Amino acid sequence: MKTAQIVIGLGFGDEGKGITTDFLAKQNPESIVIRFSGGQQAAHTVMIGDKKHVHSSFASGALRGLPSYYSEHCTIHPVFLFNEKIELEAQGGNTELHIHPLAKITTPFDVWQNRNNVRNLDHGTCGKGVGATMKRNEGPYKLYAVDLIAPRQMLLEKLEKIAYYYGFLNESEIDAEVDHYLAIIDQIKWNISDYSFLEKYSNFIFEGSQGILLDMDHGVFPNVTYANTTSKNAIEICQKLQITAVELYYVTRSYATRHGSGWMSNETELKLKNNEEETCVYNDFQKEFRTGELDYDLLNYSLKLDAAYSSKAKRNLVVTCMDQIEKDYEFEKLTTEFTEIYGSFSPDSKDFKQLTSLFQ
Amino acid sequence: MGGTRYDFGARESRAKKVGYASKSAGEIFTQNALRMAHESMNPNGVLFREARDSEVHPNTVPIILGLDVTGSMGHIPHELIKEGLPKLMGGIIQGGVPDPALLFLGIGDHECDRYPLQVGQFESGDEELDMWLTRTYIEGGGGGNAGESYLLAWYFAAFHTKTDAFEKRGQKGLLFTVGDEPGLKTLPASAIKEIMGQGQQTYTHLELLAEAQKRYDVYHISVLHSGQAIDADVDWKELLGQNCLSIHDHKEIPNVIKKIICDKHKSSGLGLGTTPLDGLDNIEML
Repeated sequence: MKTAQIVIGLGFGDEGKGITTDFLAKQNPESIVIRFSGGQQAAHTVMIGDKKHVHSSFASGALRGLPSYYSEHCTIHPVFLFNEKIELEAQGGNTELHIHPLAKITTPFDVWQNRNNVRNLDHGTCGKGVGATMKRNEGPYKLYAVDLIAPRQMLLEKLEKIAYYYGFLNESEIDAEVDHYLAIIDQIKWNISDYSFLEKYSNFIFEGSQGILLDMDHGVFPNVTYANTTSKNAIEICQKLQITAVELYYVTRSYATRHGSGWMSNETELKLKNNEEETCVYNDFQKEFRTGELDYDLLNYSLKLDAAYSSKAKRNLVVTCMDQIEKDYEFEKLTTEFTEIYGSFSPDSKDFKQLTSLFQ
Repeated sequence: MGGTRYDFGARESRAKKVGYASKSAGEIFTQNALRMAHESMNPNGVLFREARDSEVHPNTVPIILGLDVTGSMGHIPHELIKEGLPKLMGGIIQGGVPDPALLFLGIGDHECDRYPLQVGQFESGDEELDMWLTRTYIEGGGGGNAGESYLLAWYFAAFHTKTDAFEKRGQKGLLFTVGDEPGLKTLPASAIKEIMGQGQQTYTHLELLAEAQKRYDVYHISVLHSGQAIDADVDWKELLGQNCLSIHDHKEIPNVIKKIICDKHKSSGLGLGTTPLDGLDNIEML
């Protein structure tokens, strides 16, 4: 029987999907880790002993040695991918990466657009071109992973049309970036593989991106991400692969976070400790990392919503960063029935503890 | 739209009651406090703004006024609501064009602003025109790039307006942009998609100007209140020739527009409109 674990963030991202994916990878070392939303804007941190890697263009099983698969719902930026590959190789991670032929490809033009359009900045962009790529792919100027291995002239034609779409009419300002982009595409050995490639695996770890509250259909517009961040896409892929034994791992930090603009509840500055490894620090696009008290009503909302996409799955809860704050938890307020509740007490998944009995 | 008259008496008493003459721009342009455009002026999804004839206005003359709402030009809408608008409408009507239908566009910068284009409706009545003008969000953006998006007015006029004047009578409307900067030269498909909700073609300003000129006489009013504006004026003259109208005092805007419209009316011989059946009695002469 084929089995799957789906990792979903319950908040606005930064919940600890990376560490949770690593926790599952450790228990299921023969698995492949599948990304089913978002793309290179993810920053999923995994620490194993003295090794640390922030996964973006590779799934979060890579540091531990598991291969990655990016589905058609994802975006890929070849240059970001290439740079991350070098980092992963240096750490001895697994850089085997398979990409669905219909995954969307980010170009230098998309990144330029993402970073220069104030509306994007307002809405909380990460500046990695993901939103622009998704938006462009709604219209006629599409670029897919399979185009990367198409005859070069055809790829160039498509890139030229994308430049036109963004209004680059014979300007040279971006030429050097495009030349570099093409050189990098040549240096990568692309594995463009549809779902039939996955049939040889028996366990699948689905790694979500961002959080349910940033979902394009469910977040508060316009501060949303251009993706379905619920279990929707993962469940659809499970159905295609005829996986029936599906478990969900819903992740939240022990406090609420938001990196980027837009509404959040209970916002307040918290006294945190042991957070020296925090990936989310001030950046020019998302600004300060915001925190708040855990909002159980909002967690219940996310859980209720996600169950609409995954009604038959078993549910587990993962609470990360429990070592960073001292307080009493009230997980009994959550109305979802969890099979297990785990807590994490360091940035390394070896410090996961089962807490189920404490809250039931 | 546009089945009502411009009633000067009603306008004057309403202006007094509301206090247009004494209130600050922030008090009059209520979207400014909200820091966002009014949803009814969001062009996203708008197919057409139409200037149709009606019983009251059987010979509509479509006029588009694209107001620069960026930083250095934000005081012009304020001046228009205080005094300029009744002066403009009065001048046009007294000049022998009784059926003007005026559409306000708020023009920003599609490279920098949140709301680079805001669109009202073609209107003839005093109350409606005041409403669209005061609903306009004076974003006060602009940024340090090479100009403002005056070409958005051309784009909108060319592809998103319909007029009885042209369809029934083969008469072109009039399109004015008012500004103090050069115009941006490219309107990318991606920007059109962002603003209008869909867009597949990238245009240059020359292409859009030619498209707009098919159904509108296109003018630009250059307000020469800065060195930069005087520099920009050179390019505008080169582009539009005598259709670039240069003024030093922005209070001249109503006069300049009125003169163009009324001269056109006189020179056409056909008349841009006719005197309404019930005469000019309800129009208060200024």
